[in-house]
Amino acid sequence: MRSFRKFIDISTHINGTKVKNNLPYVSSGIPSLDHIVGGGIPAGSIFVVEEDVLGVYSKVLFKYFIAEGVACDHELFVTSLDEDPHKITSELPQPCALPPEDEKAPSTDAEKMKIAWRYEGLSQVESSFGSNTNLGHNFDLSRYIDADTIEKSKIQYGTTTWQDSTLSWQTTMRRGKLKSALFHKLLRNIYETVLRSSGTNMLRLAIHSLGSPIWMAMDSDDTEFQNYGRDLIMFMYYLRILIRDKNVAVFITIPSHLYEDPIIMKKVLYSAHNAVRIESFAGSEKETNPVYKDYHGLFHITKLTALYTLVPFVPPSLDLAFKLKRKKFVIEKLHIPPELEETSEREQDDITATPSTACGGFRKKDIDF
Amino acid sequence: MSDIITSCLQLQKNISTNRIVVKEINGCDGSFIVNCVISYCIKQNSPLLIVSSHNSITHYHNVGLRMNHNLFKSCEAGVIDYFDFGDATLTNIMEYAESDQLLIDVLKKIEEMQRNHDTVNIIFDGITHLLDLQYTLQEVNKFGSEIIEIAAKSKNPLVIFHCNDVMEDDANHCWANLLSHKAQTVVEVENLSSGLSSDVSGHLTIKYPGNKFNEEHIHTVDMKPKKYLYKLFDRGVKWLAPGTV
Repeated sequence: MRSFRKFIDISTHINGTKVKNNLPYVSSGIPSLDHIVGGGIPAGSIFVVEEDVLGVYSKVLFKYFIAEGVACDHELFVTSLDEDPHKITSELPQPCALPPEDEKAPSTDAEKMKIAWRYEGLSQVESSFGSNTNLGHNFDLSRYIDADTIEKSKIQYGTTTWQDSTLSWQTTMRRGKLKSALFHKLLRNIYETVLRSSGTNMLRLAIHSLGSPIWMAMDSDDTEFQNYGRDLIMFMYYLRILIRDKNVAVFITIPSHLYEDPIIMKKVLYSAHNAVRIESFAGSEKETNPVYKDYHGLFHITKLTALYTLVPFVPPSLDLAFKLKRKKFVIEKLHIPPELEETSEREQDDITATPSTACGGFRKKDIDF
Repeated sequence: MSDIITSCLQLQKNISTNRIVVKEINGCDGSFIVNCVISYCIKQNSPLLIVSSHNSITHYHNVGLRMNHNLFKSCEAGVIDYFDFGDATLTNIMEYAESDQLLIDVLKKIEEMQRNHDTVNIIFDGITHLLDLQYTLQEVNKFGSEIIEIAAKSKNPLVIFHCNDVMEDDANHCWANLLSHKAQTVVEVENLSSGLSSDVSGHLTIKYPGNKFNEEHIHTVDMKPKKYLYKLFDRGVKWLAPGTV
């Protein structure tokens, strides 16, 4: 009798999914993101985005995920305490048939690179990812999905409100029990939603800014500091247990930069399957660094887990940067521009680094490459 | 692959209660060790209880299909049994039931299997989640000791604790060390400090604290651990000596 049996699941017929390792994958809405995390977000997994400091770009990714769910007619559960989730869903990028065209400034003669003749015949280096993907839709950030389409889509909104943040579910610390009513209510919402979901369609859970100060209000009032973050860690664990082996994909954004204690985020990420971190240049010294002039920030891959397989995905590059264009969000391989300027500076002086002191003096070690 | 694992983890040695601790350091995933041991037990037709709290049984089954064994079929045959600890805890929460009984349920499951089999091997996957669920260090340490004590009642069993060592200042680290002191073999898996690589999946360090009372090591103050690099493939693991990539 054969010990190996090919497993065919009804999930192969779910719209907007691609099966890999016996597991349906859904698109995040951004082809380049799908490419660098291994082809998409697997069902039964939690995808965490560690937010940038202002939360601007993480919200864009959040909207892409929901928009992709609307475009694929998936069931959706959206919740946020920091912002009205209805407002978020009213600003979802509209799907378009073709990829939005890149905006290119007309090049002048002065900007044309001079290239040695032997290299003229070679193809250009491909910095972008996901141009050939067959999963997911293309979206135009400059246009929104109309309200009627949102109304007709299968979006359910979480019932947690900021008023729940100071309510206690358990008055004493009991084993396995969530103390905060906020986390307990959300977990119950999700539990009932997962139970109600048909199983023949994908369910996308989107939680915006989990672990923001509103979520942690109860822990902040607690006199025992070692309890800070316990509900968040426990919630993430229960969520992992709840959605595993189901046609559910979870997308969570977390403001990890607010946590001084690195242990909390490590434990939170232990329960997540895949995680990325967005480092925006806004407000930092990198914003004026000419090395990064073509990008809006760096994109770090924090965790990639092997689900239903031994081998985790290894991305094509770990040096990633992103840019938010008018119509789309793109993740690319980070390219440092060539050093073409001729100056009278000595070779050991770093001409492209931003001076850290008012009296000048460039240091080579300031460049992070 | 199976010969290397069998010899490095001393699976075929007749050790009374062979206790193995798998420590995940720096966010590395050590579940491949669990998969290899499951594969060994199925091929040896040796009864096994999997207490899962981190990865699901379906995950182990799908990985096992690529490693040429069928976990669900072994479960139907009665060779493998499992206890979904995470699911049981979640159900208790949603049904407003008490969770105090769960640890006792695990021990009862072991005893139930021991009634039907001479040897019962045990794997507890993701045991450090007990600390996330607010069990105290004293309770989980006592639980670990009780598992070893009950397992010892069967003939030369394997007991494997798969734990996540977060950071040095944390209770997880303390408990991982407590378990390591009780272990015959400690396997530490660690990510490369430089990041992900397609050539090597991570570092593997194997220590044998259980050998310190053997005659050949009795005068050795510090036994040198064995260090390897490992590379994960679809169908198995390849272990490499450092510098031989």
